[in-house]
Amino acid sequence: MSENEFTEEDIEKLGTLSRIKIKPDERASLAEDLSSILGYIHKLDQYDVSEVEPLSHVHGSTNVMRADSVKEYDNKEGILNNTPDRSGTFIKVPLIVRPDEEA
Amino acid sequence: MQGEYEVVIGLEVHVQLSTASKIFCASSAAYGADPNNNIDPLTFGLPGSLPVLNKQVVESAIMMGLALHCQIRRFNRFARKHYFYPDLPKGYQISQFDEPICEHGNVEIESGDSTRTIGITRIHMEEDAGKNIHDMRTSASLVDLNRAGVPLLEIVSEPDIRSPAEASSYLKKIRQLARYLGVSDGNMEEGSLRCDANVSLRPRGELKFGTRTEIKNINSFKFVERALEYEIARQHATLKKGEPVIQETRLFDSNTGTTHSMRSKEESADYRYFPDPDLPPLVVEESWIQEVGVRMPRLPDDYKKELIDKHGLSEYDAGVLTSERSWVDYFDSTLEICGDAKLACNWITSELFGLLKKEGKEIEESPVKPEDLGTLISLIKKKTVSGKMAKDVFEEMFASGNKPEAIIKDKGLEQITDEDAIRKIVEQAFNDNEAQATQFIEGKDKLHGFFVGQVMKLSKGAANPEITNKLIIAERDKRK
Repeated sequence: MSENEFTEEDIEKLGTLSRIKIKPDERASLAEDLSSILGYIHKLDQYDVSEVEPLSHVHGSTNVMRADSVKEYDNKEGILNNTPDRSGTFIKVPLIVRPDEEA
Repeated sequence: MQGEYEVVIGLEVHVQLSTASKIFCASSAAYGADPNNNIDPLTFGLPGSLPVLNKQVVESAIMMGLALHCQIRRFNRFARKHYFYPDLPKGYQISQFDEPICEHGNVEIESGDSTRTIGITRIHMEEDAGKNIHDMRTSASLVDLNRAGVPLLEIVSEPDIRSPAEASSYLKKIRQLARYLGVSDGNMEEGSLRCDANVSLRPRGELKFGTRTEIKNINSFKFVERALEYEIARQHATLKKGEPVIQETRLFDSNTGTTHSMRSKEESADYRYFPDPDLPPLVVEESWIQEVGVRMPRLPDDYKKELIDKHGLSEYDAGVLTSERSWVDYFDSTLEICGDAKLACNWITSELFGLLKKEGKEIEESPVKPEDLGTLISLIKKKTVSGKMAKDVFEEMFASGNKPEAIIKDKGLEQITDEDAIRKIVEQAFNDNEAQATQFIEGKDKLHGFFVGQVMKLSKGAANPEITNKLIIAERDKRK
């Protein structure tokens, strides 16, 4: 399925979506790598699966649920200590304002 | 809108469920905790943490679906909706994509003097995101993840709504149902109920929809109508100028009452939905739906009909009483004691609501319990206390929380219905006021009121007025 090859533009977009900085000179080789991985998966295209239900979960279990009760986590401070920067118990991140949020 | 254009509105309502814990983990879902108090590895998307579905969320969705006459999907999967933002550290929101739990429903709303049916496209379950506070001075954003993972139902209507007033009526109906079912407190100020609106105009008679805009951030009943009215006027003016409406997302600014284009600088959204492999499918068997249905409380429209048909209340009174479940529950308990629906309704909607409003209290906080109001009404019916005095008794009940019988006894407010007792008081009134008595007997009928006043004064208001009237006439005739 050579027509499904990644273009350099695809790589740039993927980088933006996943917030990964990709240098321009890395794009070509990444496009090639990802295309070959996808090409490998395309081997499955030779099978007729038109009669097969799409599989989303491999273990076959259903309805794994819990009762609605609160259990406080016992190491919240440990989690917060993992954050790079804090202000009290807030997590401090660089200023980032989405248009639907008020500053 | 009058004239050549028809308004077409569809609403997306997010209902925050009032479960104790979050949708996929056991941290508290309560509002108002200290920042980042309700957190755990899953909320932070830490490696190795796995989501486990809260059963109550599914049952709340089923209840809401049944109340909105939806079909309930048997085979459900959760999907990941990817986006990067600090309010969701996992990098995706767990939601439902093309397989929502409820579909093809409808709801009846009030529109002017009649009702209209609005289609419900879908209801799906998802997790809420955290909250960011932005500080321009320090160029930092502060993230609080207490809300991240709190369960939401997203309810999407068909584009069946035709005016801002109907939009508001629809939203009120959704809130009323959610509160009746006990699935959400519907508190718009605390963000338990949030609303986005899709709105477009089309020439009257045209079947094809016009280009729509989506308005975000309309988070109060007052703003729903204002935002839509502004946006409709804006689109109308645009079309009148012969310009096209641009399909875009617009933000409502409650300070100016206007909407403005968000012109998102971000790349167009690419959520890359796929089934969440961490969550096994959810199968909702018919037996489960039935079981949930049995546990469902009665819905407001059924209640209202019963109040009108069985108890003879007016459409208006029944509507008022059923607007909140806590009100109709109070009414029910009052009625059970006194057995008089009209009196119970009058006392609740005038005396009780009046005092509650004055004190800024909700009915749940009422110092007068429904059973005590029921008893007071029974005492009025038995003529133990007059209707007029009962108001004083009620005020005293409200102030002290005491039982009506005790207050009546303590204050000697018990109505005197014994004819011999009243006759003695009437005689005394005639004897004490000889001049007036003479004039009254000689035909000055106006003095009747004077003697009623005297009897009331002597009895401290306790004499039954009807008997008093009758005996004053009898005394006059006797002395002629």
